[in-house]
Amino acid sequence: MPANGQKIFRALLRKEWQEQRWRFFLGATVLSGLLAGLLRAQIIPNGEAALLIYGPVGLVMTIFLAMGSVASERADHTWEFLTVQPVSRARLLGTKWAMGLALLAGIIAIATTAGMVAMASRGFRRLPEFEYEEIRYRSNFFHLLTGAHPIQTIGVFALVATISLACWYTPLFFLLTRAKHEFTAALGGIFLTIALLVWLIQLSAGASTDFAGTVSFYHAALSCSGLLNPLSPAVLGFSENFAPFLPVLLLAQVGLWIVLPVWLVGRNSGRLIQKWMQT
Amino acid sequence: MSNSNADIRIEGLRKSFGGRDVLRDVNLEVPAGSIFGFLGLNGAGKTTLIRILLGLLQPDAGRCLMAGIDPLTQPIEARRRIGYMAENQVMYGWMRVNELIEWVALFYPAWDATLAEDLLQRMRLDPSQKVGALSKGQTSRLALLLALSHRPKLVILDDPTLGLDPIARRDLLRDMIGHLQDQGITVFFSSHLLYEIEPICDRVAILHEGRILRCAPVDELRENIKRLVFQSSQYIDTSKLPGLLDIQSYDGQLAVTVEDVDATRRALGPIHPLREVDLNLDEIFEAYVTGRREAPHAG
Repeated sequence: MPANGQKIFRALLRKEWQEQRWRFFLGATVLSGLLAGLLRAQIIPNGEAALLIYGPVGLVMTIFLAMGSVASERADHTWEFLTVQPVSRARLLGTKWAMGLALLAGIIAIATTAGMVAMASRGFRRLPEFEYEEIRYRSNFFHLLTGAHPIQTIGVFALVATISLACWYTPLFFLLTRAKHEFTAALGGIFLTIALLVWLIQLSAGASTDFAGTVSFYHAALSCSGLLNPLSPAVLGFSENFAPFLPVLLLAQVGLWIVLPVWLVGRNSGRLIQKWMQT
Repeated sequence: MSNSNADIRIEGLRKSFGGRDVLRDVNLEVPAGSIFGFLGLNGAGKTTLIRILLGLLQPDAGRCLMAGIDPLTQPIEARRRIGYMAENQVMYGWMRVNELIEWVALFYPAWDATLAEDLLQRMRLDPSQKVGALSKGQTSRLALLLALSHRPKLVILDDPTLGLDPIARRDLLRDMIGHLQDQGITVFFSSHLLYEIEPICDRVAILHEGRILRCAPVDELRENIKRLVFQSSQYIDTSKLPGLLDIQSYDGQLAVTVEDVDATRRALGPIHPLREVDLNLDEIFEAYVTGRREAPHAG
């Protein structure tokens, strides 16, 4: 990127931070409060607590960050002012996307740190693991963590959550750039996320068989397609068959859901984006 | 494309949204250094055309050149060379005036900070004030400052005085004309307030329902387009009048507005009107856009 290009990128990033920082502070407060509270109370195992907070609450944060940037500018009518500046649409969107991604990672990092501090405040007591814990985690990726230090457990959960949520944030961000109002964007984000979760559920136990217990091509195909789901690592981490491949799956998801969309947007900054956004 | 000295050239431009034709085969040339009035009712397609010129929209067909640059293939380079001010331009209200100026300056390699400072003083803007706290008139003047401070060769103004009160409109036009005079800048001024365009424009184009109805120098329009008033008792075969734009009947008189008064005189032969009325730009525009081409029925 030439020197002037870097200056423009920094100027755009600075503006995005000024406009988006309230989302960051709100998200960090909510996620940190919930995770730290649950981990300190220790009413459920650390892994379950992390999954509960990083999962549903993390998804809400992802929608919250993906929907806001372009839709709020469109609603405020500053989008017209921004787009007539001599900056490519790809760079404008890329900056907004990068800032949202950084905020998402930052929120999870702060919440994770708060969770670790909360656990430390209880003296890292070994959790009263439930009986079924041993069975469920016996032969999957996360079972490696059952004997690990709680800090390690939460750290790995946070890493998987960050990558998975980033994988969903990226396509969601580009899809929602078409929304002309934050309310529309929020509705779109919720519906798309529900569709994603319905699809993801097919990966769960029993998805590859029909109600009679026989494997059909349809169910097998549906189940396998779930590998493409950006949140699949969260489910497959608990599967005996897929758990060993979790790191590979995470890398593949990053390639499919982050690198590929960003590359496509960067490659075709003109017609494709303008056709999609029709502004 | 005939005129090699044109700053805007548009050839065969078409654009439709959802099957509705917004621009239909638009051809236009704006000579360098001219102040060009672009007239049309709301929804005529003015803003769509401007968005294509800025490289923000892709046309379905046709091509255009802006100061020698094709905005469809080089939109960023085109926007760097153009000063643009939109109707009701909304900027970042949380920024201060000087912050916004410094922020926008980063996008333009040719930004002239001295000129921006000079315009800031001439337009009586407080650099420490929040943009959101500016009045409509001040916001328009700030938008004008941002459109001019990179010394563009071509300025596009899209209904810049829309929503302003008469005092703010007068101030903005005064600031604008004060800067543009003798600078040799080409101005493409889109508006539906014709009385503000008339005193400053050299040429105008009338856009209606996506088509250019007429493009000519203002003086030529005033010279050629006249309203001829006849007694109703005089027999006028209006279907044979060349370039008929409007027919009105009132108080026993028939008033016809024609595009070419000389050709009409020749067509009329020995019949002479009671009087010939000069028209202002407002009346010319109205004749083109809402004119009735058929003779009113008796009774």
